[in-house]
Amino acid sequence: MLDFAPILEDQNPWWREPAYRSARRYPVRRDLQATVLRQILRRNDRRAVVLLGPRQVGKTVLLRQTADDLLDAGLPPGNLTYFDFSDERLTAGAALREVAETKPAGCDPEEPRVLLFDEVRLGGQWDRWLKQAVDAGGYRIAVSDSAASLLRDGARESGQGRWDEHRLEGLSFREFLRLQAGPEESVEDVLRRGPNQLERYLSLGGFPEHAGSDDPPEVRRRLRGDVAERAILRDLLAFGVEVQRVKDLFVYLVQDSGAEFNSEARGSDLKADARTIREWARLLAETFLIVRLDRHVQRAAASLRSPYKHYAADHGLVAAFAAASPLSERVRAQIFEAVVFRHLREAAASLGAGLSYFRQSKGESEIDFVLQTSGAVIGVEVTCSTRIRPEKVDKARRAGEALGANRLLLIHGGSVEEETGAVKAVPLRSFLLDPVGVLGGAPR
Amino acid sequence: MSHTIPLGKKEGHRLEFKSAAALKAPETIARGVVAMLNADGGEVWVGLREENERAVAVEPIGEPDQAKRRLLDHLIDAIEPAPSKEIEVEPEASEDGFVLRIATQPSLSRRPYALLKGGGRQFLIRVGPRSRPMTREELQESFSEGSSTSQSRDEQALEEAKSRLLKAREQAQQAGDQRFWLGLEPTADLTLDLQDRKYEAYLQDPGITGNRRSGWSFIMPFGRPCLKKDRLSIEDERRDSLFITPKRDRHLILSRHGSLVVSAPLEALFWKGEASEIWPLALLEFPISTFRICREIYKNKLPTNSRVVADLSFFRVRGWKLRGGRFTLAGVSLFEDSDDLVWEKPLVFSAEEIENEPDRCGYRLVERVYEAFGFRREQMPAEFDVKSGRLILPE
Repeated sequence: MLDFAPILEDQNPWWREPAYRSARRYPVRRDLQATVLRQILRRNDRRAVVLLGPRQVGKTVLLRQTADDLLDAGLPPGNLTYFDFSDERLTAGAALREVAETKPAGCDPEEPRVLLFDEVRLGGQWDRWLKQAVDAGGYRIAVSDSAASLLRDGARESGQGRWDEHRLEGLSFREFLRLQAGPEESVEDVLRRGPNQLERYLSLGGFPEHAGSDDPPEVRRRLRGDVAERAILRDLLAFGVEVQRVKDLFVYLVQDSGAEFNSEARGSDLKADARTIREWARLLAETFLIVRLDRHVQRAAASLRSPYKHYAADHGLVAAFAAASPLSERVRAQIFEAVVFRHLREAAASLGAGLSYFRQSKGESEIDFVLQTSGAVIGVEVTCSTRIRPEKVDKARRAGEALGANRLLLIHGGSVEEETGAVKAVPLRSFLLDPVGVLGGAPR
Repeated sequence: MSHTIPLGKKEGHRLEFKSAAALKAPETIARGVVAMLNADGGEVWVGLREENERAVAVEPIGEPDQAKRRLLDHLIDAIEPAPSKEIEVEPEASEDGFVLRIATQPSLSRRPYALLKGGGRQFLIRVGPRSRPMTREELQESFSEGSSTSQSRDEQALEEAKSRLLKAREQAQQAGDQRFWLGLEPTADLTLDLQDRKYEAYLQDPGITGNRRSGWSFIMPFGRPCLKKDRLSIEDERRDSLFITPKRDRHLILSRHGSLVVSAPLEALFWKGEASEIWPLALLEFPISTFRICREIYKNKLPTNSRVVADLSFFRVRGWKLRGGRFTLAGVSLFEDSDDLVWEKPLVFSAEEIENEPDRCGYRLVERVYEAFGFRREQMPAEFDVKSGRLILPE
C-alpha cells in the first residue's frame, strides 16, 4: 500500500459511500463552474481544464462542486478521483502519476476516468504528466493551482492544444449576491432585503470566504494576512527574490491601483534598479493579485514600449491595503475603478474584445478603459461621484473624440441613467449587474 | 385615501354641505369651518346641493385642484389662528364629477378660532346642524381652555401628537401586510421647507447623518425622492419594476410638519440564520439610523420644550423568531402571542434626547421588542454601548 492511499481513500468518500457529496455546504455555483463541468462532460474532447486563480478565490470548492455534479450526472463513483496535493498528511508527498494510476474497485472501463487534482504543482512535473495523460487518452482531467505556481514552470507552451486555461477571479457582484440568496431567492430578492448590498460588496471585496461578513475591518485584516503573509510569501519564495521588497512593491502597486506604472520611481523607493522592479511586478502579476492594463495604441508595434497601469485584481485588496481610510474619496474612487475593471475583464472575454486605457501622450485627455471589438471602440470612464457633473461629461466626450470611440459610458456612483449627447451615464450597480448588456452585448 | 360622498345624508353637528356656488363666496365656507373648529370638528363638503338639510346631488367642481388651492388660501387668510394641521382639503371624485371635502380637527390649545371679517373677529360655534355666534360664557370658557398654563398646552400637544401617530399606525396596520413600521411625530409643527435639497440628501447619502453606507437603514442611494402634497417620500428604486412589487418596498415619508414614517417588509430584517429570524443587528440599526436621520432633520427646528413621540410596530409577525445576543448564547425566542406586535403607548423623547442621544432613543424602542420576545436588556447585542449610548458597527 502506497503512503498516500489512505489519504486518497479519505478524499474520495464516494468510493465507499456512493451517495456522499462533498460540497453540500456550498450549494451556490460560480459562473465558471458550469463551463468547467461542460468541458469535462464533453466526451469527444480530450483537452484538460487548467484552473488558475489566486489563493482563497474558491478553486477547491469549484472542483468539489464539479465532483458532486459529475456523480449526480451518473458518473460511476469509481471513475472519479479527486486529490488535493496540499493535504498536510502527505508527509512524503505524492506523485501525480501514482495517484492517477490508482484505480478504486468499481471503476467502469466503459466510461472515462475523471481526475480532479487540486494544488497540482505539488504533485511534481505536473505539465509533463498532464501532457502525457492527455495524449494517452481515457481521462477527463481538471487541475488547479494558484497562477504563479503553474506559470513558474513555463508550462504554457506544452499546454497548447492539450489544455484550456480558465482564470477564476474574485466574486462578481451577481455571484456575491447569489452566495447570500436563500433557496427560493433571486438575486433581485437579495438586493432588496437586508443592508445596501452594493456597499457591502465594495467594502468586503470578492473573496468568497468573506461575502457573509458583518465586519469589514476584520475582513481587511484577514485579507492583509492571507495575501501578504501567505500568498506572496509562498508563491514567490521559490523564485529567489527578496520577498520583503516584493511584498513592499505589492503594497505600493495596490495603494496606487489604477496609476500608470513608473519603475524608476518605484526603484528609487525600494532601492532597486528599474529592471528588477519590472521583473518583480511581472512576478506579482503572475500571482493574479495584480492585473496589468496596457495603454491603447493605434499600431501594434508601439505597444511594446508603451506605458501600462497596474490594478488590484480584486477591489477588496484596495480597501485592505489602503493607506487612507477606505471611506475616503480617493480610496473609494480606486475601489470603483478596480471593481469596474474586474467586470470588464469578464465582459471582454465573453465579447472577444481587447481591453486597454486611453491617454494622449501629453496627458491632456484620457479614458479609464477602452473595450475594442472587431467592429467597435467603447470608452468607459468611471467616477464615484453620485452626481453627473457636466464638466465630467464634456471631458469624457472630448477624450472620446480623440480616441475615435463609437460609444462612451460614464459609470458613476449615483442612481440616474441618462444619455447626454454621445455619453451614456450608467449607475455602477446597473453596470455590475449586467456588464455585457450595458456594453451592448446580449443582456443577462 | 378616497371617502364616500355623503349623498342622502343629513347635515348635523359634524357635517355640513355647501353648493359649488359657495366657492364664489368662500367666507360662507370659512364660517362653517370656524364653527366646527370651535365645536368638535367634522366635515364640510363643497359641491353638494342640499334640500331640507339633506345632500341630494353633486354639483361638480371644475378644475378641483385649483379650487382646492384657492379655498385653502382663503381659509388660512380668513381664520385666526391660521389653521395648519387642523384642516385638510381634498378633492373627492364621484360619478358626476369632483367635490371638495374639508376635514376639520380642532386643536384645543389654539381655541377659540375666529373668522376675520371687515377688520373684526367673529367667533362662531356649531350646534347641531347650525352655526351661531358664541355666547360670552362659551368664549370665556374657550379662552381659558386655550390660555391655560403652558404645561397643559404642552400636554395637549403631546396628546395630539400621540393621537396622530397612532392613527397613522392604525392605517398601516389595516393594510394587513407583513411589515415593520416606525413613526416619529413631533409635538410642534416644524414647517419644514421640503423644497430644500438638503432633505433629499439626508435620505440618499448615509454619510451626512452619520450612518453606514453598507448598513441597515432607510437611506436609499438608489431610491427616487418624490416631493408631493407636503410630503417628501423615498422608496426602493422602481426602474426595475418588473420584479418589484409595492408591498415589498422599503419606504420613508417625511411630512412638512416634521412627522417621519418608515416601513419595510419583515423580510428586510432577515439576514442570516433560520427562516423568519430577525437579525439582531438589523433590528438595532434600522431604528437607530432613522433617529440619526431625524436628528439632522430636526436640528435647529425643534423648540427646546417640545417632544417627539415614536412607535415601532410589527405587523403579522406571528411565527417570527429573535435570537438573544448577536450569536447563539441566549437562544431563540418565537413570537406567538398575537398577529401584530404593537404597543398601546408610544415612547416620548425630549428635543434634547433626539439631538444628543439619537442612538439611545432608537435603542429604547428596540428594548421593548426584546422584552416582547422574552429577553432581558443584557441579552441585547453588545454592539450598542450602553455607557456611551452609541451603536458601534464597523464599516
